[in-house]
Amino acid sequence: MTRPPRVAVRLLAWRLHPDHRDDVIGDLDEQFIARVSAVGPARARRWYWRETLDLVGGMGWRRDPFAIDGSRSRRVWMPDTWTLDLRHAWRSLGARRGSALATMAVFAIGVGLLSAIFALADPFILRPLPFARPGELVAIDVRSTGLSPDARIPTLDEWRARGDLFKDIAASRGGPTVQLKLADGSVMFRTGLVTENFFDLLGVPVARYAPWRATTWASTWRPSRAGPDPSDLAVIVTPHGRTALRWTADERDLRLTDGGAVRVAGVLSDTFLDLVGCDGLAAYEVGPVIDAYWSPDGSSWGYARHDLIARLQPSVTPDVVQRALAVPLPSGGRLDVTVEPLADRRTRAMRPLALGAFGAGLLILFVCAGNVANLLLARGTYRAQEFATREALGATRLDVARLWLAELGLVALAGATAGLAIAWIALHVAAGVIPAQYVALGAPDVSARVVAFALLAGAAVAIVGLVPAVLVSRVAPRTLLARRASTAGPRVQILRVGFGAVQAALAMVLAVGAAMLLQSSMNLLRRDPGYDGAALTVHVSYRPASAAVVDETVRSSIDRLKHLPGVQAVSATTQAVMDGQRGGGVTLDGRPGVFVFDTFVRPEFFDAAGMTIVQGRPLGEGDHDWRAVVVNQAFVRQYLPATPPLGHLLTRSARQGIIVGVVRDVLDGGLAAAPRPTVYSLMTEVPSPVVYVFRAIGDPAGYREPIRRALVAVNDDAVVSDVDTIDRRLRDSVRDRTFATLVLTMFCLAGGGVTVAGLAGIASFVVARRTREIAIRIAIGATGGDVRRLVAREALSAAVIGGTAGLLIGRWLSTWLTSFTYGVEAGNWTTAVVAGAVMLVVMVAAALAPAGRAVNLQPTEALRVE
Amino acid sequence: MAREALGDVEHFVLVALVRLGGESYGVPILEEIAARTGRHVSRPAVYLALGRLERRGLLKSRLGDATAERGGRAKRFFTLTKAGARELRQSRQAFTRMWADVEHLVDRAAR
Repeated sequence: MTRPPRVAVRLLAWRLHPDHRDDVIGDLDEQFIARVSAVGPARARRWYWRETLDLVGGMGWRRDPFAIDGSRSRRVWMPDTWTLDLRHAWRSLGARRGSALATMAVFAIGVGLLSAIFALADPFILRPLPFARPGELVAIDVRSTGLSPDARIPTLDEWRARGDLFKDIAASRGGPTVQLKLADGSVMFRTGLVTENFFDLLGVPVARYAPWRATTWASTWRPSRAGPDPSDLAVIVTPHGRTALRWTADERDLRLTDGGAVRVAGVLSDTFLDLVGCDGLAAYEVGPVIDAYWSPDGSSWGYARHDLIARLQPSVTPDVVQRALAVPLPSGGRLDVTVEPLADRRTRAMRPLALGAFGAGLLILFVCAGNVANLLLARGTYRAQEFATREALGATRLDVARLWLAELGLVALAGATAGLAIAWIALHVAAGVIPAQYVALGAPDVSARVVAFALLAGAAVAIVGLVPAVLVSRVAPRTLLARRASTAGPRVQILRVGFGAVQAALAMVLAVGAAMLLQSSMNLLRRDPGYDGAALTVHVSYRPASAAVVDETVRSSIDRLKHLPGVQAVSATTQAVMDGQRGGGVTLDGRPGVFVFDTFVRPEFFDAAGMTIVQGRPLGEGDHDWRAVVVNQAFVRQYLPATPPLGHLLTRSARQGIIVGVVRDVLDGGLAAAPRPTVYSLMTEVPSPVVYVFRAIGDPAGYREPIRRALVAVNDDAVVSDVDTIDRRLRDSVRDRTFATLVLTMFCLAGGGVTVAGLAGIASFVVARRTREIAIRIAIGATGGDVRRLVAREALSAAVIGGTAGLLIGRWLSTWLTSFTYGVEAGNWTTAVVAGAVMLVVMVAAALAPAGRAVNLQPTEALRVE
Repeated sequence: MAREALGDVEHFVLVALVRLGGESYGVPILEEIAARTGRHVSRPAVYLALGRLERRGLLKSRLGDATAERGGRAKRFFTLTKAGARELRQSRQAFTRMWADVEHLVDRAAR
């Protein structure tokens, strides 16, 4: 028999008065049964729900709906249903819109900031790894000391057989990078190697298309030995690999550039957390847990490690495993085994930072709760008389609390929603600058967890904020009706000022920090990189071939790129901007110990990159084999400060080069790095990757596709990376700093916003408490200035005391930030004082805003209201 | 305080009860009103009306036996009292008096 919806019946049983509950639900059930046979169970259930909601909305809150006449005198003042409660709350909020909006803003700031931090920090603090029963998984790290060629190292299978410790154990390691040929060019494909039980152990579903078995090739491949590329490889493609390959499900066979094939044996879902970090996973077999190999004479050895992951038996702890496995080897030497939960391994590096940020966010949320309390206290004070009247007419405490709850519920919900919107915007703004290590466990987003967290945080703030407001509305009616509204005692006043001062100090510390980082960012962006920032660079990898072949390829590619419309100059270099250069010692005029960085370039490089030759000439075609070199200004400053630099002789190995030119310094170490002594010489050997540099007219984005096509047309094995401007690469070089600046600025804005609301709340509270007194003062001749002083005194004291303390603390703490700043000294008074002054002005304005309302008070009206 | 006149729904509930033989419970009353008036009558309104009429002594109620189709819950039977019958008659008379000689005027206004 079909039953009525259980939840609906429960809802009715909860909502209806016990005296009538059974007969009303009984009637409904009886009609439901009739409807099931008439219109079918689904429609009958829908009907039941409609009737339930109708009854719940229309019959009051566990009140006897049949007793309305008898209790009308007591209940007439009170809305009878929750919908009416909400409507009442809406009207009441509208009546004091300013304070409602301020409360909402405080909610939004606190919840928004904390939610954004939560989204970032959650994977490192709370969220379990996305594997089946992640608590059972451990990472095992094996190292060895004192190995000898005859040492017998246990095999993975022997460990797997330890049923007392493991349910299963699997291994993985990074594999070779192979070059794949796609329809429209080639890509580099990073492989990873895992044992066949890897996915079963993790409990990760794999969509399988073809057999996936360990091959001899994969099992014998070692990172340290360049082996032949595989001729036939079956891989399971990771989410990253799918993006890299622009892979579609119907494309199961990928071709290697040298003619071999890569078969797609399966594909992993988008949520797969890639522990190996690759594009595709091939299966391999593991013998000994340490892959040691010896030189033929046995005198030296090396080893290639595996990353081991195990699923432990219940009640087995990592310590037990560690002790059981770390035993001396029978044939000498020792295995050092470290076992730790897999989650710890993945989150260890980021967890302290995540916890720190989360703690700071909680602190701001706590301050928010205090401010909400203060703002509600002011509201409660205004309405204390209304509540007293209601209580005198028979409203219970619960009724008054319900009114508060409905009002606060609306404000909290609106605030939390706005907060989530703030978090969403903040995360999207930050998406471009979040350094990779912060998103190692997945990109942050406003997920269901974050929404749930935001609502929880909102509810917590609401509950903490509500307590004082409910307390104030519980003042005995006769006290208020007798117009003896108590003014807060000195202890409460000190507490309030103290709380305001703590906030002001916090806001000031954040302001000083954010100002330092902002100034540092501005300094960095103002730095002249020495390059033409709009010049484009593109990294291209070629398959290994003879130097002559690649050299010819590079020449042809430059020729072809020169003929693209709009391109003004093209050249190539071995070093990408900011990719790190190799350095080495040279001899200058016979003087050894001159350390320089090398940049190998093609002719016209300086022109293409927009670099200025300040003395002498650039490099030309005849300058190969180090016959002539160009140095930068940093080189001249360091090694030839007193003499004209041209004509000096640099010697490296057997080659000698004459300095023929000096080029302006460029920031090739990144925006934040100082220029280093650098020697530019013509490319003698062709590296991989080659970096093409070119200057072109107009929007760089428009050149991306033509450039890629031109490069592939010359050599269809070319793997072309993204085309990017030098500016963009420079900005990327300071991602860490930009992110830190963004985070601290967010904190500063939140702290500032909350403090502004807090100080305004203190002043509002004073106005609310002393409306009558102010009115009398105005009536007997007090000026606007007098009233402002009276109202803003508490808030201003808090702002000044807290602000000064915060300024000093902020300046002192700013030393912690020096690793993130450029051109700003720790303890820089100018920055601190400017930031402090701005913050102080904002805080004073916040304190004075409610005073404006008090000045405009009409004494007659105010006294009548009282 | 002047005696309260019957409201629309109360009037309907009392007449439905008479039509149902003077004693009935929620379901038939709801169905009778819906069938006769051709209008959807809100369930809470009918229950609230039943409650008010009982308070005013125009109806009285008793609990019947529990049945399986009602999930083991009892029916509440309402019976019209003498006071209820009197009130209903007076209400009807009030309506008749109000309508006397105006029906054609209403028809004309509605055309």
